[in-house]
Amino acid sequence: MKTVAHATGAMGLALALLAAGPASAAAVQIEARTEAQAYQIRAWRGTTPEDVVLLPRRRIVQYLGLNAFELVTGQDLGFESSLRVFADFGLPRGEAAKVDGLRAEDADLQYAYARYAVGGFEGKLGRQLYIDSMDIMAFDGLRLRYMSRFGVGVEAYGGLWLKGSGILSSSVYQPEGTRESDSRRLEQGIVDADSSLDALEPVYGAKLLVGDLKGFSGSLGYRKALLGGKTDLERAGLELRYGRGLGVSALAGLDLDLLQLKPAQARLQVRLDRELYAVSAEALRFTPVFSTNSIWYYFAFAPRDEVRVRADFYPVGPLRYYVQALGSLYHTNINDSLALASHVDAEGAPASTNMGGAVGASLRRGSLRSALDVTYRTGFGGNQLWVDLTGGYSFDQGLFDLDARLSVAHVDDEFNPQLRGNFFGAQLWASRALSHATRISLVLEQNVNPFTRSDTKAFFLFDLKANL
Amino acid sequence: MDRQFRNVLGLFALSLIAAGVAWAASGRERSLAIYPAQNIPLRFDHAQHLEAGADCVTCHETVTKSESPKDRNLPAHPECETCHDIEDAQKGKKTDPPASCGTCHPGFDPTVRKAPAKLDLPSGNLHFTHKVHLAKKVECVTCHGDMTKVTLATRQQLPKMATCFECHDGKQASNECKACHVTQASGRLQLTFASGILRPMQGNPLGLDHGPRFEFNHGTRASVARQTCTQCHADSYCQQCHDALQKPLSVHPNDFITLHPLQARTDAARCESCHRLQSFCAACHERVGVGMDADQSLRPRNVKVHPDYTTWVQTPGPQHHGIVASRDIRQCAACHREETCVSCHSERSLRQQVNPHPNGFSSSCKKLAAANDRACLKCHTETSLVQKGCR
Repeated sequence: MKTVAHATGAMGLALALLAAGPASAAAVQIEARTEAQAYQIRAWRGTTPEDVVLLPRRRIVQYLGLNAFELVTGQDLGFESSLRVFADFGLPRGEAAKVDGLRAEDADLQYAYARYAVGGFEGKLGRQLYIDSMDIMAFDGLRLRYMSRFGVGVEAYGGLWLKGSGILSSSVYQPEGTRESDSRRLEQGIVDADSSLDALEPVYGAKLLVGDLKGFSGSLGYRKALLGGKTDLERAGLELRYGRGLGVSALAGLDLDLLQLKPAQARLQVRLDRELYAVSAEALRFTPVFSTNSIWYYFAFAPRDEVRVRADFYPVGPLRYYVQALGSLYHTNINDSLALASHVDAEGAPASTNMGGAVGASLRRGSLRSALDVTYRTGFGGNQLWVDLTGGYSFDQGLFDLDARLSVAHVDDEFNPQLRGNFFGAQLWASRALSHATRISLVLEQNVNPFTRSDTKAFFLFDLKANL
Repeated sequence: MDRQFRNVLGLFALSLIAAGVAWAASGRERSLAIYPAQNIPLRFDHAQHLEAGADCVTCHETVTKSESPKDRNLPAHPECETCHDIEDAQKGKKTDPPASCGTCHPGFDPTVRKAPAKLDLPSGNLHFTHKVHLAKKVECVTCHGDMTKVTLATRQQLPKMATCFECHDGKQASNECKACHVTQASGRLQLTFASGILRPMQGNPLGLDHGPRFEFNHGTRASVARQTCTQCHADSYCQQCHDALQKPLSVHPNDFITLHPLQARTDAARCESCHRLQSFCAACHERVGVGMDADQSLRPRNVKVHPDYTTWVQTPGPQHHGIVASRDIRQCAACHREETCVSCHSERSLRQQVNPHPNGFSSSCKKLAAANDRACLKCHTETSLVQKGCR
């Protein structure tokens, strides 16, 4: 990790030198957000269902982003970063130490990278996010991308996967199925605690790119991550897009687990856009993608298939409407040698499907905005009906915004008898621009329900975005 | 759900539809961020002028040299006076065609006011040059449509993006966003303007409609076509929601902490775009006493989430945890640590040693163990791996 810290330091120094160069037209930008959250969470520890215990959350999160662009005049050379510092004053430090992954306070460098682009070439160096059909991940390293004028290109990247155990690191993008660190369990001498969980994890990958050939574009990619010299993840991804103006467009993505040679995630979306309406259909397959360091990777689990169909209607005027239907099929995968296999479809077994839909409307007229959504789902997991109504108005040419949200949920949880009944919530959001660069917001939320009975939440936000 | 509640809901939905029909008389809006709202207190008839033999540049003479969307390119009195004898009309003479003030400035009485009401005609927030388009022989009608039936031209006669794409297809002309849209120093599109926020809406020719509930539907596009998103959005924008620490109020409805279990079961993949099961979900669940692998002092004593132990763990039956785990193993990993499962599923367990692997696992175990045997050795010994043919 020291290497990473040194590399980040060196990169910062190099950028500072670049920025200090002569005749620079650099644009420097500061982004900051302060968020304070105050509310309670119902705890189950040492209680009976009738005895409600509330744990306080008093969290402050401070984001600080420093961005600089055109560090060399006329060149697309820039730097972007985001640092997050947080503290939860409602969480005693001693209590946090008892739970893996719980932090009473910490600092995360979410990303900090230098970017250079010229012609069809783009390079990024530093801590960066990477999103594609395989993952949402982050790594410290280098990414190079080149797209030729013939619409064919290549991308390569490599570095160290960002994990919670690293310096100024976050576990938000850590490989799934692994805990933030095993240091606490190692200290306690728990059998199977794994010191390699904290080890550096090199990750590398490459993609062949196709860009807008007769409306088609896409990529074919490969990725591998190693932990302690052993394969953590090995995947291949295929992405395809088609679109040529108003009419039919399509997206397809496939994430293939190369170790087990089975698709982990697959998605296909076809959409028809017209002036007055749009129709889209989507078919998805979700399979959990665990790290091979997790025992769950080797368990018998099955994918969930989902189909979504949605129609949007835009009559002339400020209102638009939509209706959506969806259905999920939860597959089952149990070893035939177990007696349990014969009970999968027996009476009393949880449903293997989940069906539902949503209807809604939204309105935008001048400074007025409003939306209504009614969603119903039934099947695996239980039944849920959500009615969500929002409305807002901007005063003084957007300098002051007032928004409200009312929600009613009728919930019948299949597994947890505590979560049954009507849940009501109301939210009021006032936001005032203090200047061209700053905005202050206050959100108050009041909930009434049979579980927590009554609870109040308050959020305070301060946003700054200034060009220096 | 009781009947009364359903009736109220139905009535509300019906009234919304009725309101929509009532509003349908107003014109379809172009983006206010691109074409700000106008106020044109004029009376004019393009159809009549075109029928009379005028062509576009007769009145819009400056357009051939115009290189900026800030240029109004509207005729002033000198251009009108080519046909309308304003001077004679001001002297009270009858003219043909009519040229009194009220002909074009309805309601304006020069004896009462010094000047007619001013036009409010903000320029479009775009890069645009008439000069280049005309030099490339682009006809006025191509962008502004058929004016032979139009009276007063408004924002409705300004081209929509789909029209631009007829030529800006990447071959005849650039189809890059920044060719027309205003960019920031970062190179990304400027989204916030005094007149509104630029947001792809209905009929977007790229199928990018950011309509209602887009925060729930953008996942497929964002994962497959990331480059499209980055034309407008920085990483910091995505992280306003995808960072697991802020509570995105537009995404999580009121009281979501209480109600999230049901949604997590029906759409766990959505949760995982921000939260990791073992480092976020399990940690919070252990703190509140739902997770069973927490410190003893945090464990629940009198509350159970699952059915009784015999039904849930011991006796094979329809309510056994194995069926739920097989259908949605994320649920397990959101509360439990590996040691919970290992206590029964490990070969070294002193309790049950239930095989958790799928059918046919033995045929692939050698390859998997060769890639990474760390997890294998949590449950098996080296010897047993060899005996099972996994070495």
